[in-house]
Amino acid sequence: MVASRNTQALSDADLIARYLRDQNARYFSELYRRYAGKVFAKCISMLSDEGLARDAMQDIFIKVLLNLSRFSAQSSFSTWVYSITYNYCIDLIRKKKKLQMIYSDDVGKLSKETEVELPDSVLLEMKQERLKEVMQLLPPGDKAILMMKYIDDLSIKDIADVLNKTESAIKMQIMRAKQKSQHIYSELYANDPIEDEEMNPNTVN
Amino acid sequence: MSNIFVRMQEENEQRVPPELERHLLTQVNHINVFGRVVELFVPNALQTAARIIGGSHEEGPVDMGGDRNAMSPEDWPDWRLPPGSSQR
Repeated sequence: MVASRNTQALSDADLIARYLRDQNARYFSELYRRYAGKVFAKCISMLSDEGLARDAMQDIFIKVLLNLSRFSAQSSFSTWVYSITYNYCIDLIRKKKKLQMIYSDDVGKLSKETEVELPDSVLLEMKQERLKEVMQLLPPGDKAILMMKYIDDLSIKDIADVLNKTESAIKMQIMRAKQKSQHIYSELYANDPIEDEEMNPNTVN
Repeated sequence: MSNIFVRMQEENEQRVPPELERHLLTQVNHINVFGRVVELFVPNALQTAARIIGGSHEEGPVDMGGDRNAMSPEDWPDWRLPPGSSQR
């Protein structure tokens, strides 16, 4: 009991240092308790399947454990864990569905004239159930980018680092993911006016 | 106030299966034990293998004292003795 209270007071960096020094599972267990919920939620959103999410979460934490000595304090531990989570889920979807298309469009394919920056309210003012539906139909890369932006509040630079892309590519991809979401939404709910007043794309945040 | 994405995540966070922690910690303990076994036995196994084939883990190559061809046949080391031991 005292031991668990002691570990709760430690920072992520301290827990990692102590785990690497003593190889005591209780330090890793505390890290697991801190991040299990968030990692599991991301896996469910990305994979849309609870069984797959469960297996993925176990694999992700084993990956984290085996690579713990390579973690450098350049980014926060949470960002590092989330980057492993997103990349693992994207790879899993790619393998399972043999998907070639991970993002809505390859960056650079569309001409700049067709790009319109949509406000965040396009997504943030959707009803939760509808947003869930829309997210399920988005390509995995777009889904991951939107989650990093709106849930983890990562900067463009951090998202670029996580997905190993340039910052301008990420900006473009966010724009396209929003457009794609709006397109899916209007296809799904074109005949259902309930949320029309709430879905006002002209509202600026 | 949190946005709709965060609320969606918070809902899913509650769904973590409780037995997963136990499974994971069992795996972590197995990995730790395996790591310790490797750490303990692999260096010894390598040393043993080195000894079996006639060398020694600690000793480097034996200095024969200059150019071997310059020695007379009487001074050549006895092949029956292990390297580095006294000749006679």
